[in-house]
Amino acid sequence: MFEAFSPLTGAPLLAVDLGSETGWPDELALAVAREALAELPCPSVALAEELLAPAAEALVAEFDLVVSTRGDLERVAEAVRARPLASQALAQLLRLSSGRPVHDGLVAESLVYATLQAGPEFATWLAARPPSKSRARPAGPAVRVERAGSRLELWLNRPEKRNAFSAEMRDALCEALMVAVMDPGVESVRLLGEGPAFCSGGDLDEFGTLSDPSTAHAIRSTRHPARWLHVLETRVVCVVHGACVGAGIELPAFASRVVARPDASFRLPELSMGLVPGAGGTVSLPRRIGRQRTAWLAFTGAPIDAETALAWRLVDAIEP
Amino acid sequence: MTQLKAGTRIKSAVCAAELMVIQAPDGDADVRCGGAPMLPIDADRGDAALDPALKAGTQIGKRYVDEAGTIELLCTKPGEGTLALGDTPLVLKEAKPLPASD
Repeated sequence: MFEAFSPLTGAPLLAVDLGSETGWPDELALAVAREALAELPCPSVALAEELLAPAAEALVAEFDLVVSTRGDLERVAEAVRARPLASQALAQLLRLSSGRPVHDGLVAESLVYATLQAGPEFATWLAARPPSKSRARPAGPAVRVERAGSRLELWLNRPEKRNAFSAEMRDALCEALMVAVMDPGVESVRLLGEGPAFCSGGDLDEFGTLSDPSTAHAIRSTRHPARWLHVLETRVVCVVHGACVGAGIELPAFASRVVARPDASFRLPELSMGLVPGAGGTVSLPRRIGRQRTAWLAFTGAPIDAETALAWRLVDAIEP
Repeated sequence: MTQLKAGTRIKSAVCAAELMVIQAPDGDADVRCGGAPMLPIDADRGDAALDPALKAGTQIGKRYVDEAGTIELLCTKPGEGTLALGDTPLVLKEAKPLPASD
């Protein structure tokens, strides 16, 4: 039975129509179902089209995702069928991190990411990706740092690459955040993006340049801006606009306040690359919007606009 | 000057620079910026003037060390003066670059 729900020996996804369930919950059956969902070796999706019966209501929180239409269910199923290995790992990672301390979640995310970096789905994506469009090396610092009194303002500063998150930008951001970590005289940190987009996600030109997944994990464990954003959490305000893709929302979501411009949109594209979010998003997003909505974004890669992000509390305000 | 401790914040007497002591030398340390002894963070600046020959400047977020590795300062507010231990200018310590992890 267990092996019937695996990308290797059975179905890559369990979908349950909770609307078809009737009657009152049988406590024993519920306990068995809860445990089965927690250990299921593939993602689980609940279809809840209408008001749920009590038995279904008692179980709905245990699923990896909840959708309200058959169309949405098909979107999830399509994504899972296309990347069954990454989907299994993503579901397990979100369950594992749920309720755990931030640091534990970051370690788990990096380990899962490394596992998938060695996998066939990432290799397939790498082989098929369009050629690099990058031009001459950009000038100036990757993160512009301005200090005025007790305020620190950090600008992602690669507008010609829509602030694609590169190793250079990672290092510059960590260096700048360290000023606030070390200096109690820094009372507030504002993180903004220069140019048309706050951040278009990981720098695609760097994907596949890793020497090996073990070293890549060691790098993330050594230098990771998510760690410092979490340490500084209550002192950080992120002001995001335009495309906020992958790292472009995973990192801001660690701050205690995120302000979106009306043109902001948010998207997690990593699963389509055979990966999981790797900039801390499997930790920061669930803390803001819960595990199931994080899973919706991460499985489908569907964009949401600023209004939806505000309704979900992925951001705290929309300001022009 | 006085004894420094890791975690102490000091400032330049002649420019806007502020620094955090990451590693302190044993004993008294004659740390200067722009030719003038550096001050405790809450001290009055006084009337010392920036030596025009000592204007290498400091960059926010960067670390400065001496060749022997006895002192390390983190710049938390940039300024114009050259950092020095005694008459010997401190040098910029670049963080070890790490490759992309993607």
